[in-house]
Amino acid sequence: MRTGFKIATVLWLCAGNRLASGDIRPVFDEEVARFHALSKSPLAELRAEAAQGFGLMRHHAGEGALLSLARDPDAVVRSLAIEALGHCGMRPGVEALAVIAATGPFEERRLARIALEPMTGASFPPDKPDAYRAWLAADGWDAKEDRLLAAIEGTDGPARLRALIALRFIGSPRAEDRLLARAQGQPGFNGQELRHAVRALERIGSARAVPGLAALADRFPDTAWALGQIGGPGAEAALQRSLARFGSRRLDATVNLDRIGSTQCAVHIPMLIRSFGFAIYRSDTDDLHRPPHAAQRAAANLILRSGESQRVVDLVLKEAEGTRKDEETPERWRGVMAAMREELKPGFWRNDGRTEADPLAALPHIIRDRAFVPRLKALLRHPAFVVRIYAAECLGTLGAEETIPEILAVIREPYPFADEVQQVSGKHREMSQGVRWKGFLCMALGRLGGEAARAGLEPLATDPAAPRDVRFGAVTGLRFLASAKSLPALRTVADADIIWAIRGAAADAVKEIKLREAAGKAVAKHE
Amino acid sequence: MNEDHLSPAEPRPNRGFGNVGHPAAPRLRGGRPERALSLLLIACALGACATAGHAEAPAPGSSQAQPPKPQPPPAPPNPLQPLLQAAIKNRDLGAAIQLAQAGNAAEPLLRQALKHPGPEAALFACALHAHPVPALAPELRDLLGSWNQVAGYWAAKALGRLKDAGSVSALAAQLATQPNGYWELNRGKQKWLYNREGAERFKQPELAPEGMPNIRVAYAALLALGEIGGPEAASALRRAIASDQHLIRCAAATALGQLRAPGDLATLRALAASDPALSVRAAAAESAAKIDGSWRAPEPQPPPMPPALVFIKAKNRSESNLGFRDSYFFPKTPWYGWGENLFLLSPVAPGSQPRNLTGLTQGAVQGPEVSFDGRRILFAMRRDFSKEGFHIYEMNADGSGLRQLTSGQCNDVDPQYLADGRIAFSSDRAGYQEYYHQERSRAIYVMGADGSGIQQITFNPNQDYEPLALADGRLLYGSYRFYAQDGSPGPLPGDGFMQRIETVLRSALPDGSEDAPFYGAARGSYYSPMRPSPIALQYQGWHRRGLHIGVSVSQPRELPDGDVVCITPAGLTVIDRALAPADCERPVFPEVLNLAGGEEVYIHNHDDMNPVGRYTTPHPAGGDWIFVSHAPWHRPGNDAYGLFLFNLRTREARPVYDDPAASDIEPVPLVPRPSPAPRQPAREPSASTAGLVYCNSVFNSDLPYDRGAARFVRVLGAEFQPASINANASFRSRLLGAAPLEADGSFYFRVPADTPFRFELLNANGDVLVHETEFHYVRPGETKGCVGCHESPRRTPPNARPIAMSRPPADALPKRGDLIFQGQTENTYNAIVRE
Repeated sequence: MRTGFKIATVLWLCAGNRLASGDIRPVFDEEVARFHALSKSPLAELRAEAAQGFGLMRHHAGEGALLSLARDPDAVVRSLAIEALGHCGMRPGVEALAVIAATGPFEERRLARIALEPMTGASFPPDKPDAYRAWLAADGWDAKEDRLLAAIEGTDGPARLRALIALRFIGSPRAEDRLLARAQGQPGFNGQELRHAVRALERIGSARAVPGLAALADRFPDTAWALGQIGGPGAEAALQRSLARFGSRRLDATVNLDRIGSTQCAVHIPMLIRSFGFAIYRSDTDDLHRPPHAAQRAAANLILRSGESQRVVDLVLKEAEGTRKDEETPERWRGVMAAMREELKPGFWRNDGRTEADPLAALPHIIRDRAFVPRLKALLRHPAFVVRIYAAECLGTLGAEETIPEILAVIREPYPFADEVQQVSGKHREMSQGVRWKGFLCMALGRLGGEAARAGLEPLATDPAAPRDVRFGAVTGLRFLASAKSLPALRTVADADIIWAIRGAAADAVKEIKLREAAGKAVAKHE
Repeated sequence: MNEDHLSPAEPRPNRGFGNVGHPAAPRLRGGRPERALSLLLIACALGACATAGHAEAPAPGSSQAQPPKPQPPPAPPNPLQPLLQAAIKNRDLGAAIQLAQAGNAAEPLLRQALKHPGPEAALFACALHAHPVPALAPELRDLLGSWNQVAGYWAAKALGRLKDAGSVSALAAQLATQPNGYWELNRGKQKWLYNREGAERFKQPELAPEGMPNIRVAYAALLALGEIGGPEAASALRRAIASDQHLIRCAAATALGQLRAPGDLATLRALAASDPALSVRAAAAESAAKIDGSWRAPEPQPPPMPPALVFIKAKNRSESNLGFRDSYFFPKTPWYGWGENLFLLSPVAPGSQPRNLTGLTQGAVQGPEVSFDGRRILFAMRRDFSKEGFHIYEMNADGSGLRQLTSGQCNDVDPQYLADGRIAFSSDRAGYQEYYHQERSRAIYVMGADGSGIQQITFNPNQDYEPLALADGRLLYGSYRFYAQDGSPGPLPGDGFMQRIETVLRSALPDGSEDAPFYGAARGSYYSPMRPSPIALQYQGWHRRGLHIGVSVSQPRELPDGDVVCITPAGLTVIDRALAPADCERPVFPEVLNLAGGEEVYIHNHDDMNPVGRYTTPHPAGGDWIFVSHAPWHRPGNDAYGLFLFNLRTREARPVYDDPAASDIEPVPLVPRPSPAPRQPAREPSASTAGLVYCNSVFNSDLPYDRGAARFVRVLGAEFQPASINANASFRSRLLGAAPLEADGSFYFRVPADTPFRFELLNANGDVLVHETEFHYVRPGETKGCVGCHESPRRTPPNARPIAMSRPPADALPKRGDLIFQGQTENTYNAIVRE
């Protein structure tokens, strides 16, 4: 047994090192690539998703695709693209929007005009649709940029703010030095102006801007985006400080450290492994019925690149198994590990408003080593149901098909109460003894995938005698699994289940599976 | 009788049917004899026994009917001591009254009992209200300022009965001289105002300053002044008319009506015309009518008794309101107001024994309802409490022909007949979880008379229940709403994290369309107007955008005149339908207002501060009369509820039936009644999965936001949560879409049907100016509009032709890749998003 653990230790250390030096793609890059792919889809629904996704990111990486989508044959796609260009566009975007503001249908003209006002720093009456084209034609970009810089250096506060906002969209690298000089001069920018200066530097800044940005990283979390865009050791150090300052639940520092491929986040592991939410945590619930969200993926990447990921998994599992020893645990991790203990005892259900066992939620995102499978299988019958849930999730991540019979066996064991007579949840412990947790094992089976999982899930989804959490979990699992073979079973559920929400989930799953069939590879893993 | 606001627990002459002697027989044969004896003694105190004529009833003064066993010497120093002890031990108001009637011999005992303001002082003060003893006026006056507000309340009432001019000064001193000058809550002997900022609950109380009067005692004192009269009393009452507290103005207006001074007529008429509270306007109008001679006394005679009454017996239930909705606590006790068996009382007459219609031994029944022709009974039942959910059943009025209408792994409750023969009910078969405590949400459903064709018609992300078919064809229903527990802010930036909980009444057509607020939203400032907390901290008093607190309204029933009687934070309350949703409430016992010290905004949670008792499950009986389940204030035991016939104007209560071994609830008369008017929905039958929504102008709002900065409206949809196991706050919003706001403030969207949605106003930078905390929904093909934000639907729309309606609607439909978030958009779940 001892030898076995040693072998496992060597294996996960190797795996961790391999992962740390390997090809973990940043979430930001994955999302940009995904939206670019979706923007070329023949399905308008997916092109709309691309336009919307770029608009939410507010990053100029989307501008090229958005320029095309703004001319899309589908009106919904066009509107979303025009709105997104207002956030992601630069000079080409302004030029395209000026044309739309002059010649588009009413709604698009209006959207374009609303977008152009902050982008250009210029405002025109609504009844002058060609005004922005005239403004563009009046002189060149350099002249416009010079006027913005002059306004930034001037004393007119509102004009200065408008110019700072516009510089993000129509500024160029030649403006960087004057902007930096003004930002560092006296009197300096006020807080609102500083934020917009940082946003402008995100697009026009170079390594010269990093020291100034780094100084702001502790103050404005948004600065992380400029630092992530520019990169370099100075930027990484500043992002590390920002992560320490604002925590890992904000996307800014986490996503941008991931974006620059940071391998130096081991020091943050006690914080990072608590940033995945938790199924029972009221303030930050881990939505296991949804795909992993961006913050989880970025935090997982940082842990994986640190080279410590499988060691983290091992120690968290040992804590659940009751075998972890402090002497084998890095000192800075001991507190986090030990704090889990109370919540892993038999009979614990959950606390109200806090949680300590949330490192369990990190495991499915960072586990890579199949040597953990036997231990995870044993944990399917752990006294604490949260351990069972996350052990199953880990098995799903690892694709451990050999454990499907055991997972199904656990699911099929009845709850010790009739579903309809016991309260489901309840905030308070005395009313929390009827928590339904087996549906999450069904979802894990869906993540695990494969024919055996599908064959196990479909009867659960369609069995009216199964508890409703199991039926919902099975439908969700089949959606994750996304096999066209499940369509008949899902249609049966969509038509016949007594529960409205389960019928709806099944109908959505049918729609999603059919869309994936139609879209092919354009629909990527994280959707 | 109505002007003195007597509690039904108070002794009063009995008239006609419902004489307190009638229900005595079953009580005396079983259960707790002392409880039956108590009621009998109360009646005897007023001479009712002379008319009772019940063969089995003990004679007046028959505490000897079951005398205490002889005790060995020494003999008690006072022969009335056992009676005193019995009154105290059993909280027996009848024995207390008997003591008050005992003359001089009892005075030392009563004086002693009144000296310590515990529960016994309240009991004996109430007894002295029933049977005044002038010599005890000093002790009663001492109680006015005690920590025991129930004792103070009854002392004030007793002093009024004494008509003791020597008590006027003490009574007048109960009128506060400063705004917010009353205390209303006590924790034990502490006169508790609120907690200090940030303090743990009840750990650092801010106590009432010495001499501050209690508002409930002040209310009773003002009524007493009206009974006593005289210049000093009148002067105090006239000062009270200007009080900042509507409860005090209400009492003053009522009391001035008793004085009938012509000089007060103008003041009362002005009050009747313009007071901001309906309860004050109504009291002033009645008093003015008394002075000008136009007042007509309410008809004292109740309507004829129905041939039979269906009701439920519930045994040994510790919940103060038997599991009916009661504000914050409801999510922790999501039961269904159930009991063990359904009973039929026929005839509804003295000595009648109810018949068990369901014969369950380990099951439960809930929500009885009688068909419009009076021939069938609809109810919910679970035959085995440990194995089976509630389902809807129907039987013939005689108990024969039991039919099960619903089945499956769910709970179906609150059945209700509809005009077209279908049945409405609430059920947890929606499958999502309410977003506070993650219990299974109930929604309203309709089905055919045989249980076929079940359809969900309401779509609140929390809970809907208790559908009631109104005479005009609409459905009224209760809706539990927990605003912003998902971490979203209050309506305005800076409002912070808002957790207002409310159970309100809403109305909709029987297909779920035209869903709209009816009553209850944001009425907390009426029920508890004192000491608003500017920082809205939990446990720190009421704020209308307060934290974790709100109004609870439940158990609505439509009265013959179209008004609605229901249970509110003040217990039994009549809602003036013509005035709803705001300033439309007339609490039957306004003196139990102001109990909202925090989240426990409900009279049933405050027995120690409640001088009128609990009421639940009202049902119209004709005219101003209702059947109601009532537990007297002095005996709040687990089986304390009995059935009463009750007059909503005079507060007269006539016992109908009481099993002392059970609470008797949900009385429903087995009589034919008019069928509601059929009401066709305005929406076109549609296969669409969307509906339309417009707003006339967002500028038509009471919210102080910068109108000039508003540029966009965005629509947030609710993501139903079917599988949460967290402690709470797993609610997610979906960003459905946004569109520019028109210059006139209008907007027009196409939104997904059967999906809760709400709006946000944004400035040009996308920052939130106003976050709507309420949810709406539309049914497929429905068009719904509003006049503004936070405005009465009766207000004239500012825009004759909203600009937005001249264009096609903007789409706010769910799309793949929509941002899904918790509370505020930076808390994202599925996308990289930057604010």
